[in-house]
Amino acid sequence: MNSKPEKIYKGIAASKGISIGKPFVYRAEVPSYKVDVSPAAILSSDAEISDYESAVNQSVKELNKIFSLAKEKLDEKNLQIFEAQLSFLYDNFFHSKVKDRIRSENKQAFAVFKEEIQILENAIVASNDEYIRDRVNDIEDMKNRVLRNLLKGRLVSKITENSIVIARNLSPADTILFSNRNLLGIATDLGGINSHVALISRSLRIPAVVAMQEISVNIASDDFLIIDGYKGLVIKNPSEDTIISYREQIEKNNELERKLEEIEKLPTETKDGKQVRLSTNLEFNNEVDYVVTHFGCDVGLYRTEHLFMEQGDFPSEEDQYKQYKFLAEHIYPKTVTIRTFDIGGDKILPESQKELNPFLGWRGIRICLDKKETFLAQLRAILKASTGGNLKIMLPMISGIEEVKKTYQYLEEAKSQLRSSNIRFDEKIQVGVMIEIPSAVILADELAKMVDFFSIGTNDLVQYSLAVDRDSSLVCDMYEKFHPAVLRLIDMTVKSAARNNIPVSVCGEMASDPYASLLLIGMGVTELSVVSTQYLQIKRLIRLVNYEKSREVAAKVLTMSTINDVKTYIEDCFNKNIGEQLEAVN
Amino acid sequence: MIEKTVTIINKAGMHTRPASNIVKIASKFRSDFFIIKNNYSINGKSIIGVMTLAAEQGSKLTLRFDGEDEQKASAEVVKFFEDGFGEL
Repeated sequence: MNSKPEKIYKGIAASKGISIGKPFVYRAEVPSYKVDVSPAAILSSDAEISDYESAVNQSVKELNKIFSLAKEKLDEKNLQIFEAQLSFLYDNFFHSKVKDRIRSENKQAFAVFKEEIQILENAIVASNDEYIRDRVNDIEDMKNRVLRNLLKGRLVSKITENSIVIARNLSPADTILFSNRNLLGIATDLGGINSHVALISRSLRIPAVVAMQEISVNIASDDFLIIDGYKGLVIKNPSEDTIISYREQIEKNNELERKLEEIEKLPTETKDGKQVRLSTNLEFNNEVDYVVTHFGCDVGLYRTEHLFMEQGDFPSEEDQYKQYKFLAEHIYPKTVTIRTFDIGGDKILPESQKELNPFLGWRGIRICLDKKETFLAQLRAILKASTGGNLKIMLPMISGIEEVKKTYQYLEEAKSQLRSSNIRFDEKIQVGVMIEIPSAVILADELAKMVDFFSIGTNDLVQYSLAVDRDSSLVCDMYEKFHPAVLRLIDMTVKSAARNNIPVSVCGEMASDPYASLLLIGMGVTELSVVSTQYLQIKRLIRLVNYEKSREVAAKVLTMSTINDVKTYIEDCFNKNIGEQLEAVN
Repeated sequence: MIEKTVTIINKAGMHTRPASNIVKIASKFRSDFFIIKNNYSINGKSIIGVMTLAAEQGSKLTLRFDGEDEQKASAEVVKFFEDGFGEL
């Protein structure tokens, strides 16, 4: 079957996994059709009009179908995009205008429709308001759909057999449509690690490779493909040898997956029976089901910033309430720790007022405390959603006692507003703080007396304690979580929490790192909140480790004074104690 | 015929969602409904028309109602504008 030579294309790995199969080359955008506009090419006006009507009807049908699929998968904000597109299609004033022109100017439906949409888009683009200008996107999908139907160059949005979707780019509507079919993978010319396609692929757990530049041109329907979502590769017409080696890898991965799934039901405890609380970080609603069915764990960190990012503004109290309620109900009886907006000032300040040093600027709790009404709205939304008793509030970027005091004043205000409206909420809702600024570590004993829990945000703690910006290519190699000073700061925090009888979790990337997670447990951290893709891996590691031994390792590490000593020692211990067992399991 | 002047007060302006609600409200009434911005007039029962106004925060618009139920229609539509499309 491989008369054609093997060829490898490289892109950015956006969602892990490997699949082997046929491509489905999807061209959503209207290609540059050569439209014959000579009078001879024009059907009768009646025929053009009836073509136009059936194209619109077909589009309504398609969009309704996508809409009904999307309802269960999307949140309200995204649903409105579809609703808007549908309402455009129902606009009879617009349609009569198009039809009148087809008749009076004796033009093709295609041409008139395109011109009318163009007039509309021009009017919107002329707006001074960026938000309104962006609405042009709402119209694009609708326009392309009608044009596609009109030109009967419509591409099947049906995949008849399991295939790897190859596209220039996928719109939200396309992705949702595909996601209900048996997809083997997605590879696109455009997109980045956080593009829509990437996010959806990860939550559907199918391999995806993005930013491949010209994959949609290079792949034809009769090619045969391997998509490698680990390395970010698409291999066209692979040789027998390549296929065999990939099949072996898939077999290995499946074996590993099965092993991992076996441990889903087992308790999260060390070899010597010490229980460890393992929770997950969560961002998207479509991950919720997976978390509930496969992990059944707490959500240790729910970031609310993406609610802000999606809208470019603080979401309304009602929208927030719905979102928090959704989480509280689905995750129940497990708990969800909601972190209040942790937004950098760079996201909301106008260009002229941007700070020279945003990481030391107006961000996190500082913005919340300054924008009182916004903060009160978020606190009320969380409180209202807390009636099941399984929500907690977490405050980001706390640098001192005053911020906590002031937050409590606001929280009391929010509570009394709700009480006076007879709205119920969890009176005992727990409040914790992120420990991510060194000053908070130094004041940990005082802070611990004021709050119900600590959560160590290792990413910022490393950056602030070592004065290293990890986005700077000049110093990023100094960003080191195994720096002895960082480990001692964590140790101080843990001990202070223990003295005051409050739990302490770690929710930064450090918790998801196999070496570091074991060290953290040995240091006495009571809970790890890890990214969902690492959850089962970390759980498996925990079950292989001996708690008493990890205590010893941690104690020893805390006496060390260089990064190199720490790393060498940890790797060595890890390999000696766990490496072999890992090998055995693999 | 009734004419009223309104100002867009919500932050996001007359974007898709309020536009579609304006059309929904206006369509409940028999009266003709036009929105006029800078001498540019559109049919207020056409969502695409309303979108082309691209009315951002601070825009002043004239609303014209004409028909048997113009009183009721104007009262309800004007109120929706004054409430900032429920987005304040």
